[in-house]
Amino acid sequence: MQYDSQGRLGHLAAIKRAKLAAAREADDYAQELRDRLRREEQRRAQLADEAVFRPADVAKQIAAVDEKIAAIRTEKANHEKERERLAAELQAAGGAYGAALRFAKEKGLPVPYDADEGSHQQNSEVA
Amino acid sequence: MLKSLKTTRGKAAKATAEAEAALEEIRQLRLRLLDQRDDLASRPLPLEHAVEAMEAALERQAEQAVADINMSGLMRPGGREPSLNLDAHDRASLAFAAARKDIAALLRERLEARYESGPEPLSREQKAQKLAALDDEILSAELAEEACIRELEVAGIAFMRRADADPRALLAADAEMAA
Repeated sequence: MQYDSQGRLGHLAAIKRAKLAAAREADDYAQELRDRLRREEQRRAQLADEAVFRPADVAKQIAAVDEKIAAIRTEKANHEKERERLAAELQAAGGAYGAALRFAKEKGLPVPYDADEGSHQQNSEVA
Repeated sequence: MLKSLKTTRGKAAKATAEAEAALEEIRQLRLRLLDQRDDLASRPLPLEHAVEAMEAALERQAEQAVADINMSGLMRPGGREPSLNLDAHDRASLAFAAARKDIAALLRERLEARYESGPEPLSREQKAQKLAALDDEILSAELAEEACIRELEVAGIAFMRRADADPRALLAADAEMAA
């Protein structure tokens, strides 16, 4: 069988890098959503404290913040599914690339100078 | 103009769906081939081979049973009453050794019954030949899958490769795909 190890590994590495970038972006956005949620929850707690002294003024504001919190939670849940999908794609892209690179090395086929094994692993984040 | 664009988009969507369906079909075919391979790999060797293996195993056990007996009590009794000092295990082992031909007949009957109701046996050579042929077919399916993914990529549609895709297909030159 004829191989184009350099060309194909370059292509698979590019896919892996794109998936890694997408997965990292999804992680960043997940972090942003967590921060936004925390800020809104803090804001709601403050408003709840103020409500003791002037309940009529604050009730509307609390309702608005509750709406925001609900919207962020919904977005966070939806984004989590997307994040899982991207993580699975990264895993598949990394697995295919890693297996191809190992095979090429075992068979003594030429590999790109910057071929690296396992760099598709992203830092796992606690959601 | 707008209608023409819609028609073109519709055709592109249909082509994409057809390509994805074809890819899925290839993947299903590969899975069926892998099932066939598992089935083939687990086929037993012919009955004669199993009978020979059983007889050889019985013979080894019988030899071991006799070899474990301490004969020195008979050869150098030293004034005491000659004794073999057989415990229950020794006695059972010796009985087994003495009856090994009957035991072999019993086991052969059981083996024959298993072979009658079991999958078709294959000799080592037959199995190796059939496995090699199936492996070729599996590789062809892997190459067809990779070719399909490459065609989709050329059309601008990214389709994920399997993490356990065969590296030979992943690294194959485009010329191999046309073959």
